[in-house]
Order: sequence, then C-alpha cells, then structure tokens
Amino acid sequence: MTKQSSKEYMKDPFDLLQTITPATIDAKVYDTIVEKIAKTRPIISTQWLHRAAAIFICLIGIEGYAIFSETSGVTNDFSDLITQTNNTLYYE
Amino acid sequence: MDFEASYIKNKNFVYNLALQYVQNIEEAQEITQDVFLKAHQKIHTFKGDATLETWLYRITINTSLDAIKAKKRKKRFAIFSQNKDELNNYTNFNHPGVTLENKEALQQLFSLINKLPQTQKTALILVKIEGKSIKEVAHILEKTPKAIESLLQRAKTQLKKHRNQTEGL
Repeated sequence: MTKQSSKEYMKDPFDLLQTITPATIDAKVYDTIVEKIAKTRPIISTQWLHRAAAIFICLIGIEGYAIFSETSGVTNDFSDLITQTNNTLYYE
Repeated sequence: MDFEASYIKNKNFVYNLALQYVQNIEEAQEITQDVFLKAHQKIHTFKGDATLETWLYRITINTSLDAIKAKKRKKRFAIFSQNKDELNNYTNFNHPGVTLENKEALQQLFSLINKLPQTQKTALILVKIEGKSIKEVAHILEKTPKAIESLLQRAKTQLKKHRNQTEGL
C-alpha cells in the first residue's frame, strides 16, 4: 500500500479525518475524578449552613424587636406593678 | 442513573471529542476529568430539556475550548518565536486514534484546523470526525441545520485558503 501524501489528501481534506479511529480512555482517569470530587466536597454541608444562617437571622430579628420595643415609650418595668405609697402626712 | 454508570456510558465519547480538539492524550484526559467534575457539580442545573449526552457534549465543547484558550494564554507569555511555537504544536501532537501512516498528513491537517474559528472547528469535528448528522450538531450547538451547513462550507473554504498560504511560503 502506497503512502498518501498530505497534499493528495488535501484535495478533500475531510476524507482524511474519517480515518481517525475512536480511542479508549485510561481506567485510572475515573479514580482521579473521584479523588477530585472528594476534595471539592465541602466539610460542612450546605443544608447545615442554611439552617445556621436561618437561626442567626431569627436571633438578629428578636434582638432588633426587643430594642425597638424598649425605645417605643412603652414601659414594661416592674415598677409599674408596685403601688406607689403617698407618704405625705395628713393634717400636717 | 448514578455517577459511575453515567461515566462508564459516556466516558469514551467525551474523551474522543476532547482528543479531536487538543490532539494530545494527557490534555484530553484532563479535559475528561474536568467535564465529569463539572457535570457532578452542576447536575442540579440539568433541566432535562436535552438528553444527558447532549448536555455532556456541550460541557465537553466548552471545556475543550477553554483549555485551548488557557494554553494559548500560557504560550503568549513565552518569548519563543513563531516557528518555535509551531514546532511545539507538532511535538505535542499525540493522537491515539491516528495510524502511523496517516500521522504526518493528519498532523498538518490539524495544524490548519486549529487555525479555524471555534464554531467552524466544532462543526467540522462533530460532523466529519464524530460522524454526527447535521441535525444532531444543530441540536448540540443550538443552531439551525442551515447554519451548520454554512459553517462547514466556510471551514472548507478557510482550510483551502490556509493550505494555499502554507504552500506559498
């Protein structure tokens, strides 16, 4: 069989491309992929991060609500519950 | 389908497609790793409006093109001359699907294909090497069949133009 030169092939370059045969991949590639996946996996799962963030937001909200209600003029002091005695003496 | 099963089913077409882009075993293996890593990380974005194979085709094309861009960027930093750069391209040619008798001719042909615009190169690889139909390629690249035919025609014209320029030197 005579060797065909590139110039002869270039008459219809696409013919040469069809001589390429499929190759098989090395088996160790899968192990490398699995290793890479394990490395990129986060230590704390995103589900737990979401839960922690939700709790944190709730705490901030409660804190904000408490501060707002303190400054709104409504007193919730215990002093309101204690009756104030009038110490002024009569007929003085 | 679990990850291992989908890897076994699709590994060879991903690897071979990457090989047609980079023509190098090590680089094609790295691209294959990146493709499956991306697929594993982004599986929740796979809507199922295309098949898993089509989705993997798109990831492979984009990853291969990104790898080529990164390689070019690295080369830009090098102070080598144009001829040495081309020599490097030749020495990097390591395609396991190429027979020894066709190696030289295909090496020259790929050096011309590598100069084509990305879309033309992709259409050429999918139709002429991977043996996909125009309709299938149109679906993968999200273009019309006429657009793919036009890309192939332009690729052929560009290849002839590049060949004449090379012969003229």
